[in-house]
Amino acid sequence: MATTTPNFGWSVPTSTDLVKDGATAIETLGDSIDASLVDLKGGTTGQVLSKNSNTDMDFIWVTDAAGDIQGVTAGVGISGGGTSGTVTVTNDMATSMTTKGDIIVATGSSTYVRQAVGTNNQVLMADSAQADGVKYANEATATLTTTGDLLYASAANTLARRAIGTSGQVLSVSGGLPTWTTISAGALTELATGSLSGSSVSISSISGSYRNLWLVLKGFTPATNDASLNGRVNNDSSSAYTNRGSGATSDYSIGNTSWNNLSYGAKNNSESAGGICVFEFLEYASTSNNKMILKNSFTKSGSATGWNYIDGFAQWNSTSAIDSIQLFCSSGNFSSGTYVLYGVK
Amino acid sequence: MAKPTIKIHNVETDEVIEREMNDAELAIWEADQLKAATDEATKAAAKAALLSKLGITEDEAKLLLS
Repeated sequence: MATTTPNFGWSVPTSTDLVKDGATAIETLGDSIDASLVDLKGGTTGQVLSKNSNTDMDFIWVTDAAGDIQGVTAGVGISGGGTSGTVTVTNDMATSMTTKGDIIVATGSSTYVRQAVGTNNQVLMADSAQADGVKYANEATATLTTTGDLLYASAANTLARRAIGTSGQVLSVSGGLPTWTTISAGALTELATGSLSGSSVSISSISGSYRNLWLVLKGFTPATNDASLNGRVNNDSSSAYTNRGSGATSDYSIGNTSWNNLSYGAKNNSESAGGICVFEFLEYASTSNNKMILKNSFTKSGSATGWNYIDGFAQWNSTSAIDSIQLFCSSGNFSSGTYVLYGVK
Repeated sequence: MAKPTIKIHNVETDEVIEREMNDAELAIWEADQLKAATDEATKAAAKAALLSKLGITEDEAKLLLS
């Protein structure tokens, strides 16, 4: 009885098989070997033998896949490589970095260098004077050390710190640089200036750091004849204003929606140079008193031949601090004129 | 038709913006214009009634006040 080989399962005749029917036994062995090696047959030049399934001795001839790595050559920034076996490559850029925060920057085409991390609050900025074209420099916040500090340029492209001033000081310019200045009592500081144009002018975001406000209008001229100048504060169009005037407006009225009827202006013409109006907002930043507005104006009348001199006062019946002033004509737009707002200490 | 414009001068930044009024601003501005026109008409009617009551002309009234 034939036995089988342990690895391939070929039918190997025993001595008895060979004696009894040697030819058949050898034929059986040959057939067994032939059958198991059948997959090795065939193939073409360049093909390689590949497993066709997980079954033993199940092979197939396949074309060698194009693109298989034949070798690894180290380029710029890489070391190592080889053409066979296990290949090791090392990233030189990675090994050049030695410290947390390090970065790699180019020094030219295909060249690089380690840029060591800067110190806290520094930022990376371009600098063509550096070999690698960049440098770490102090970020703006590093310059600021105290609450209220300001940044300014002490020279071109040079940041500097202006320490916070003391309470009540205002920022002014001295020697071309900003500096905090103490304003003496009664001093005027110009806060805003511009032209009267359009249908309404709003002077907003007024600082509350002054005692009074002084608003001067020069050459007030409405586009509509005899239109008067009206005003509001804090965009309050409710019936919160009381008006008292003299001259052409000798009325006393409460519940007005603006401090109004205080000055009439002639429509723009050659005779009229407009007028001048001065308003003072007393203790405008107070949060405990209603606000008094003193009014003085000298304006050319459009329909009458003379000029109107009007003085009086208005009250805004609110304890809120005034932070904006609105101006508009009772009819139509502004034609011309300028405004200057001063803070009075 | 272009809307009336508003000039906003920010004192803190010195930024000046001049733009068309938005709907809310326009509504207030138009109400102001209407109120001023109404007040003016009321005042003129009262003045005319007074002149009529006094039996004098407007020029005569100006002369009296001059």
